[in-house]
Amino acid sequence: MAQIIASTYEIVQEIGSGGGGIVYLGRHLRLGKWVVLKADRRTLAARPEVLRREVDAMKNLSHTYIPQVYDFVEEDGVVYTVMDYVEGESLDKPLRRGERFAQAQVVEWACQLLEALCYLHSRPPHGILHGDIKPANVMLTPENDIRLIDFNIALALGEEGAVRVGFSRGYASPEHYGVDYAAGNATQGVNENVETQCTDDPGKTVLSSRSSPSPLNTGSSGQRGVLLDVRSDIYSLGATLYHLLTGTRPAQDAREVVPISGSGISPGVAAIIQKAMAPNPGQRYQSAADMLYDFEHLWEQDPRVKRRRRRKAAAAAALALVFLAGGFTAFTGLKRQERLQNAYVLAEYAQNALAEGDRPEAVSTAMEALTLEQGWFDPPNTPQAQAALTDGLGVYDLSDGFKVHRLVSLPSELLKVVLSPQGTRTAAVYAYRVAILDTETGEQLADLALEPSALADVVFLDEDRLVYAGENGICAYDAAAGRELWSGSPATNLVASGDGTRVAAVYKDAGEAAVYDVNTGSVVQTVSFQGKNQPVTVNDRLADPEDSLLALNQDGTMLAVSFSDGTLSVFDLDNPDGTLEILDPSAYTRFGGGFFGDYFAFSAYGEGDSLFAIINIAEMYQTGAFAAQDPFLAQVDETGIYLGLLDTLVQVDPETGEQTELAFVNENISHFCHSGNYTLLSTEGRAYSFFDRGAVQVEETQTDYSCDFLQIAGNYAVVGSRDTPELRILKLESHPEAELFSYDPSYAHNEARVSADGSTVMLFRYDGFRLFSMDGELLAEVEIPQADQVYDQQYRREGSESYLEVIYNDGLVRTYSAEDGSLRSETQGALPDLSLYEEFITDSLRITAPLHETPAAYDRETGELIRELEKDAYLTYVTQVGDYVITEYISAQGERYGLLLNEDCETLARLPDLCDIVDGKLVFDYPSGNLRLSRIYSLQELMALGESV
Amino acid sequence: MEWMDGEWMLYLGLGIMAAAAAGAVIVFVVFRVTGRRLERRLTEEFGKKRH
Repeated sequence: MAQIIASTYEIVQEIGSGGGGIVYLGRHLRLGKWVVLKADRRTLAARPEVLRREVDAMKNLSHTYIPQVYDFVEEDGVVYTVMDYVEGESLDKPLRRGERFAQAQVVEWACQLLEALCYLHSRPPHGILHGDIKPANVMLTPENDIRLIDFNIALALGEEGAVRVGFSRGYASPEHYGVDYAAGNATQGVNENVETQCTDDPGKTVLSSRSSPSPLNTGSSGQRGVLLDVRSDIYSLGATLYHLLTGTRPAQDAREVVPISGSGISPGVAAIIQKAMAPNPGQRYQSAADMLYDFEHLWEQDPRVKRRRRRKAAAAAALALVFLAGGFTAFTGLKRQERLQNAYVLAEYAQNALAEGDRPEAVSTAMEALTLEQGWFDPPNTPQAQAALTDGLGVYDLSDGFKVHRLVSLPSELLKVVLSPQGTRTAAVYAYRVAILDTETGEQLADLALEPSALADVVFLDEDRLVYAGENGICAYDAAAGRELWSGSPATNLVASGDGTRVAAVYKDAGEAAVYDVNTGSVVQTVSFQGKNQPVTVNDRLADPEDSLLALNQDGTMLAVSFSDGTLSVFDLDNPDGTLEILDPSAYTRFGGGFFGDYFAFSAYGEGDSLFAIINIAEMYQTGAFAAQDPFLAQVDETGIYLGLLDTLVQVDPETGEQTELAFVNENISHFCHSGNYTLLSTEGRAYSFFDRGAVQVEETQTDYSCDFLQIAGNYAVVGSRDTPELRILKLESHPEAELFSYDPSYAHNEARVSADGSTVMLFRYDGFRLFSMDGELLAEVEIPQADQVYDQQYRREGSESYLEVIYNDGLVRTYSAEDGSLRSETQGALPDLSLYEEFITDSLRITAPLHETPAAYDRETGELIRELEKDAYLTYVTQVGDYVITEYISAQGERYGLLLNEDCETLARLPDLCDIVDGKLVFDYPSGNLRLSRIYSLQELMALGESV
Repeated sequence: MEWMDGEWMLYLGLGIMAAAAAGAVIVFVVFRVTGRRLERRLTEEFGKKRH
């Protein structure tokens, strides 16, 4: 008959027995649920409050891997604990059968057991120890999970009182045996009242105490007993896992446990178990959570995973670094390209500025495109920028003459330009105002209001004082002091005497002129025109002030005036009755001229007739006259009488009429100005030119506008136009410091060479040469025989010896000494190659110069084409100077020039008039009869010069 | 040089970046493949990953 417990449970069968009592399989009578009833050996005679506390602790336990306690009943004096029935078998059974478990499975169970232990050890108030973890106390369910069974509550409660616990050999921690390895050496805990008894289970020892209150007993010897704590459970769990993995029960003595090894067991797992089974509790895991953590992080702690993580990180870092490096490189390249493009643009702007005549702007713009200290993002300096800077500085232009100085922009287009006597001040008339400028700096010193008429005039008395037709009347102004000196009656046309003491003024078509004393501003004389007047036209705002003549002589005693009826009169201011009528009423409408000493010269043009005449005013006779159909251009002042007609400009001797040519051009001259040693003229073809005293054209510049206003004074010249508000200022430059040699420029020659020893200069052409010493002495003048048979000429330097080699078409070769011009040799050589193909070799280049093709530079080693050189010019020489290559050309127009090239054959500078290179220095041959010497400037030197501009 | 200075740096940099990106793809594939293999081994040894 089945035994019924507490009228609720039916005992079906005994399923086990242990130190704590007998275990029955039962069934809830009403629910039909299978349960386990554990009959506690302790009877109610034992302290009931102990049992009650056990029940209270157990009934609150709820965990997946711990069987649930449902009830606590008493029957016949036996206390039964009713708990979950766990299907399956305890792990000791398969172990006994010799079964081995996979490591992965054991790890899974370990985690489950540790979760259960974490739960137990954390139960309030002090945690609950199992105390007897072993395979027999671990149930394996059909689902392959575990349940931890049969734990002893009383131990964990730290109960003072008798407890009855059992521990299993091999699985029990050293503390169970009372051994303490914490101090390093084994210390046997004193448990005086502890007896050990063997049970039926040879692996199990029952530890019991009788009357001693606690396993902890200090005793008179001072030794203490060994406490059990969570680390004891950890040891037991480790031992259990040890057995599951190895199939071998670990040694009882913790120090004799053989470390786990063998295939199928990972070092990581072995290490965990070894740590859990450390004899010294202080060296074990201090909590189940710690041990669980290690099991749960086996993956992360595996060396292979760590190694993979490191490789991943290294690969990611390396790839990121490479990517960033690439990004930085690309960014740098982009920035460099950007700056390079910018440099190209700036170089072009610089050249444009120079072409417009704004040298300071050209230099500063070129400087922007260059840098000496190259940062990461700075590309190498471009040759274009260097060339622009070189051109802007003009370091290789050593010719004497007027060079572009600066460009001044005015608020509107020009109406007139006047220079002071020495050129240091400029008066620029625009929109009925006049700007007074410092010619050197371009700085505006004053801006004065004029009479609103195209006839309004300005005249300089000296460098600082000027008289102008102000809006309220004639006015004298001191530009240096910045103040008005005096003012007078309304005026438009003005003229100053040669000595600057008097000014004559006419107001539009008034019938008189007022003569002022420039120092006081008082009218010293009024000259009546006797009913005549100067032409104004209907609207004087559109009148051309150049059509009328108003002139004073040197001392201001003679006044010449042209009138609207075509007459021309000279008034004697000292003798009102001494008026000289030069011209009777005529069809002439345009007049020009003035006084030169005792002479009065004038031009008159109208209706296709042009007249020019010179009159001796003192003796009242005409000394000369010219007639033409085209208008004459005349400039008459205290320096002379200058006359232009069509394409020719001459100076005329007033007494003899002898003409000295000043300039001859290919187009009609539209305007000119002569001063000192230079003549400036403009032509109808929108260009202006300078001629020196020998009527040699030294400069020609094309412009985009007609050059209506030209002035030269002192070291300055100005060019302006009615079409543009910009005024071009040029300055006379000379380079005597660079002078190497001077000669008579009338000797025509093709080339000039300096001897190797620097003692002679040879000027030669195909039919002859002149040889000079460096101090200018003519050493020899030689005619080359059979000049029409000359194939080529070469000036050669061999060591200290120099000579001119003349090669004839038939192969004859004559050489002439550069020391004295004598014939040094005459030999018959092979017929020359009539294709005129030449080749030049430098350290790294092979430069070819076919006759009708563009010369090209090739890499000397690889033969690869580097660059084509100058088109439309004939390459004559190639010279290497350090890292530079200098190529010399003759243009289609017959001009000689050189190009300074870098290693890539890019142009760094243009070298106009280059004729020779001696000892790394450049020699220039100028039409003025000068050989000048220059070194090659480095970029650093150029930039230093640019800074100073 | 026909090439403007800086241009070759730009293309070189872009090329390096492209190579790094291609390398990243290759490395990703390789690590993916080897990672799965390692995952299988670790699962065999330690069971399913818990974290």
